[in-house]
Amino acid sequence: MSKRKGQEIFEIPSEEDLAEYIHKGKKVIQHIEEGKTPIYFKPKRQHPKITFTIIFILVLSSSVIIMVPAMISIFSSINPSTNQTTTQTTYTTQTTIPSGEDPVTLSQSVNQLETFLYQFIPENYSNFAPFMENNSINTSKRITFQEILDFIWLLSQDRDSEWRDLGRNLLYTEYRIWENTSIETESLDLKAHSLRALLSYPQKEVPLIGTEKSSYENRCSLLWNSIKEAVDITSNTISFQENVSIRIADEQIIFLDILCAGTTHGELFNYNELQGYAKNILETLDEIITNINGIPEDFFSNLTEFNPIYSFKDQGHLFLALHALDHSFDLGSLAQSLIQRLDSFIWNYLTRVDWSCNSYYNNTSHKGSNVLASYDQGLMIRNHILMDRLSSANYTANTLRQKLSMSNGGYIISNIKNSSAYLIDQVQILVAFKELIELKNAHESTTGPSMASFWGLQPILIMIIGLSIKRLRERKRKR
Amino acid sequence: MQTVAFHSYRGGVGKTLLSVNTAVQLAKFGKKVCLVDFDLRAPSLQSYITSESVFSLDQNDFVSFTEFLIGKGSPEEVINPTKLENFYVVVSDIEILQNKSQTRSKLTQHGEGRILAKLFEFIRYCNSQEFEFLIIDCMPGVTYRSLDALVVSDKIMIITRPVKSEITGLGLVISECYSKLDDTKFYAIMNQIETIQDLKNQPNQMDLKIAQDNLKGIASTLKNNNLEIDILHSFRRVPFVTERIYVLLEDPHPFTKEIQEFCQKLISL
Repeated sequence: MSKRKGQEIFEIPSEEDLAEYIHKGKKVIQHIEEGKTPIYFKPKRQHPKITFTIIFILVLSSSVIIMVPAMISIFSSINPSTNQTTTQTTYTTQTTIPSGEDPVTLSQSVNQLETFLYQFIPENYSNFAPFMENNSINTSKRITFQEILDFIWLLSQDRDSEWRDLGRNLLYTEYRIWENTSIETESLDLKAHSLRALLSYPQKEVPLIGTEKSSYENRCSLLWNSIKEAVDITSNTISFQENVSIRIADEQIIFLDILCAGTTHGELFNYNELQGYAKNILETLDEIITNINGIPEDFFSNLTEFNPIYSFKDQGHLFLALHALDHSFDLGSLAQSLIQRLDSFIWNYLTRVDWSCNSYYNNTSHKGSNVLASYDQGLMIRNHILMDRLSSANYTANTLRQKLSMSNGGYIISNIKNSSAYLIDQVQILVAFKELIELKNAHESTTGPSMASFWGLQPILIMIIGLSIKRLRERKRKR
Repeated sequence: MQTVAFHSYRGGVGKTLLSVNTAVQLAKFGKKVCLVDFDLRAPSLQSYITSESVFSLDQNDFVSFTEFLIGKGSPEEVINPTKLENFYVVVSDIEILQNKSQTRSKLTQHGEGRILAKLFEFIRYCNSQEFEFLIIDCMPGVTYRSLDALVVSDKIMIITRPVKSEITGLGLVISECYSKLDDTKFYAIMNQIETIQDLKNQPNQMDLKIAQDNLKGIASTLKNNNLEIDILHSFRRVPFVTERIYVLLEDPHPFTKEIQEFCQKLISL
């Protein structure tokens, strides 16, 4: 009698893995509750079979990991002119890792960033968000309406209740963006940004009731109807400009964001309709990304011509959107396949010598511009976090933090190339740093002995190797 | 909405029988209830409900919850309304586990928390549909899938019988698993308990002593840990109770009365 598969194959976690699974599982739930894309965690290999080769590789790689930074620091001290974190303008593959003690911890950076941000957001929101120019605050300029919408979208992704609440207040109670009737007469581009912001908080977090709720829902429906009309069913792309064949990557991504956000408003949207649009657009992107691995800034609806200039911001945004799509819809392997390809592209070509990324690059040579925008670095950190790459996220964050500067009593991260600092950049980095702290905490609660204790383990490992060699010899003798 | 999981250290303790009867009785009390068969290893809810004509459910009508968990279908597709007012069911099937190995490993192994996320998505949907009770019939033991159900539940009913091996298992599962689930309330349900009257009629003194020791064993295992686990209800051993929904019977059955009493307690928690 054949044994039924599936009857006895449900994996039983070890006690340690069980605690980790519960801890991380609760985080997944928390993320979903907050309307965020959950960070899925990698499975731990159960009861690995320890062989001589594995032990040998372990000892060898651990020694390399310890010795290389040590050697680097020795050589650095010998040759003080070697600065590991100097930004290089030509593209090279990453060979060095930023090292050395950070002047402040990541949490301190977050505190300082928050202090800086609070200066610009007075309680009445009347004059919030001027931006820095040449290291001084330019109060004559205000944040634009579109920036406010993107600001809200970004704040809704923060898991910290205070910042998250700020976005919600701006949207529904204090600034009451949702009530702005002019949205309906604006350009399609602004309508899309508006709808994304309006849907940024899940249905259950919308604090409107009665007629206000109905007006809000009506506005969302009106915006949705006019935006979805801009989808071209032959090319499966969207264009916010009328009668043009050029498709802008950013517009596709914003539309994908709207589709994901729509799933958190079940009463307003038809899930199958949203999923249909998501599938179609991803199939088109799949075609574009096949040949060149990244997404061009703009492309033509016939999918044969691309702008040779690419923006990291698009890759980073698409990466976040793909993770959200993969969670929100049943897209088979489509989203995952794009995630893997885009990730491999970012990992292989876009990380620079100091683990930061170019804002723009050319698709044929992957040669980047010399502009390193802080916003992009924040995105890159978040991309690494989604792939559970703690060390890479750390390195990019460290590089970025070395660019932090004190100015005008505030603590800012300026654009790496020039001295302007935009509110939205600071918030992107704030979100990235906070997510990184969460990931670090999750890793710390689950990782085993630290590197410092490695040397303490050396005698044990040597003993195991000795025993393994002995056993191998005994086996040979028996033969 | 209250999410209540019925869990046990081992199979065959009466988990499904209790959860099905509880869910139906709650519906009969006027509560909107969704009963979920989350015992992916040995799903049996389907056979319970299709054999009862009162539900008017056809075996071919179901969209499997197992398929939803691997990303096919939406929550609303897997919730099956029944002819009994307020009673909805979600069934699983084992066939999918025999298909592609990739699908199988998604369901049976760690799964990176994706199955957990789907289960939680389903619960959120139920919440939006104003269900008052979501009853989850869990997989027994400590597997990644049973952990998923425990993590998302507000209350966990631990089903145990006064059998020595189960008492040892209960101690183990409390220390290894339940103790790590903060913010979850645990209640013990003893099943198949001999009443004092039954014990008195027991002619064999050795069996009598073992039965009494086992009862004490459960009580001390529940007491000797950091969690507060009260015994919510003790179901007495009723001869010839089989796989049926007794609360649907027109004639009052002793088991029905016990379920009614248990449901009253559950509602008042």
